[in-house]
Amino acid sequence: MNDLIQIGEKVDILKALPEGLLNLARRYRNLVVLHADFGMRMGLKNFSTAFPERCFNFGLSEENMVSAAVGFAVRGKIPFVVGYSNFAGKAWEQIRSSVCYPNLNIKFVAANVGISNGEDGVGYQATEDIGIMRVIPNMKVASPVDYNEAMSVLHKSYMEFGPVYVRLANCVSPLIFDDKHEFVFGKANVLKDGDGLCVFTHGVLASNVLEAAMILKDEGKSVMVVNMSSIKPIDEEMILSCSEKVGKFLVVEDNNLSGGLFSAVCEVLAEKNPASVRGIGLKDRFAESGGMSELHRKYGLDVMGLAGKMREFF
Amino acid sequence: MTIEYLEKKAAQIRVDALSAISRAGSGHSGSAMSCVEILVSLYYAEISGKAVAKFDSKKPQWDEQDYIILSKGQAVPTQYAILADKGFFDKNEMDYLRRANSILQGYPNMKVPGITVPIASHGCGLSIATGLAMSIKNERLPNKVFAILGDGELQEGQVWAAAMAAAHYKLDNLIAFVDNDNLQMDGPVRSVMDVMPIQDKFESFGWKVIHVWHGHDFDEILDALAKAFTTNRHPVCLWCHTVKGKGIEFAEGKPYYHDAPLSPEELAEVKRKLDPICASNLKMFGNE
Repeated sequence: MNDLIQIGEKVDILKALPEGLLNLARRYRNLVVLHADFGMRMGLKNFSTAFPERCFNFGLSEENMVSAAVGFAVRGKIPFVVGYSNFAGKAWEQIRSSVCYPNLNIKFVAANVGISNGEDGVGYQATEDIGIMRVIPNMKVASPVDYNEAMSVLHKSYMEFGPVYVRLANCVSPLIFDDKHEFVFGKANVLKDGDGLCVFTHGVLASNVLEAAMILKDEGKSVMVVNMSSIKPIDEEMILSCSEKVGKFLVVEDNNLSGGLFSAVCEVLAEKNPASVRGIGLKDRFAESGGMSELHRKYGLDVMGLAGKMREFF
Repeated sequence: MTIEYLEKKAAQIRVDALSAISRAGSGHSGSAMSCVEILVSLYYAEISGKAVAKFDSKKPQWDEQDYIILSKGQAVPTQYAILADKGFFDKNEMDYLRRANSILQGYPNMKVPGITVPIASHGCGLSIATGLAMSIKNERLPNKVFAILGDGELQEGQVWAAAMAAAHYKLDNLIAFVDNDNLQMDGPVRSVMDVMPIQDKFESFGWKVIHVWHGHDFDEILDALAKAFTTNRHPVCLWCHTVKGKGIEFAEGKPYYHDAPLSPEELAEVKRKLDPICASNLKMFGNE
């Protein structure tokens, strides 16, 4: 296994949304896109030009859009319901009762999640979305770390039957994977091997975690970094094999630790192999307006902050 | 098909639905009664020799079927009674309504043959119907979508978001009934949260509204449906005046029965009145 997957050029993760959907729509005629007035902002102009009869704008009515997707799914379509940031919270009851309960084949893609949409402030920061989506039976949750993985997540979401929630940040982020990378629901990947401390992460923070791990490496401290982009189903096997090897865990996420990946990892370890776990993220609190890097710094999610916490816990 | 036949069917469906709710010991007797004639019209009636709604009990997933969406899902025992009568599933299933291990859940569930969309709570049915109608229009197919809404349900904002979308997308394959029985859980709709004027509201959203003054009169419902079928470029709302608990003399217009089952004695009283109608061709209700 490579000691470290090389970090590559920086690419906008959100670009995967219009490009991935266009690729899929060219291959699969039953794919339709439903969105709520954020089509242009999320780059869906090309999609709606290429497939005007398969792209529907519902205006600012997320609950209506989610329920309408049920109608499309009943007719055999595979709707990709695209929303801005916290839209899943707005339409949670509809997602739970009308989509997940009957296990309909509907995909939800939230753009500008976590604190990547920092400047708009708390109302447009999705920091509890993992928790509220993860608790719904039948729902799968994915949080890709870069553009290439996001492309693969969209493809796998189409192929996988049942509801899926995909979390896409709005930021330019270094490529961790190449375009051959294949995301698999329920499978984690070791991004960097190590034996002193194991860090689980997902989404845009993976590159910061990797850089912080390299700083510790230079100090002679070996840190393992695992990409848990499939938050549900979670790779229990990976968590348990890491716990046999390392025994000390850190979970890093741009989400409320309650209900997020931190909770998911703790649930597995508490039941199967209790271990010492700490979380870095939003600890039962809201964020605030600010640039993403600024907020990362404030909440200890920047490279130096993460390196400091890793050192402390090592 | 005659009006007498439909009235006989309505009486039979009332007995079957009320018996199931009473046996279950929970359920919405009053709500289930106010929409009986609307549902019987959709499932049993014909207009100009053609069935009002197209379906096939042997093919519950049939692509060419019309969709009947009970947005006021609490009334589903009425729809179950009809589906059982039509042969979608065995009538004995009605004995297990709302019980563990039964397919007949308290609200419409897609596991039940003949239930085509999930309705888990009020307010979402018109949106689901809108999505279905959009998809069907997009496929350039003639299937129709019928939704039955309660009047209390109109207090949900999502209903109006759906109404806006249905008009925006000119869904003339969508017909929504408003079962206006004027009562909800906490009392009269107008004192809980007034939803009037229903006609003006739907019209201002871009719908065509057809007023059905007597929502338990088959002639009126079928006349309104015939007009709705010839409407182009607008969704249609059939605003039906109905009576909560219709057919149960002692429960008519009483909010208590909105979500209460009948006791065995009450059920026996209802059956004494309705059983002879089921067995004959007597006209049950005149025009009130």
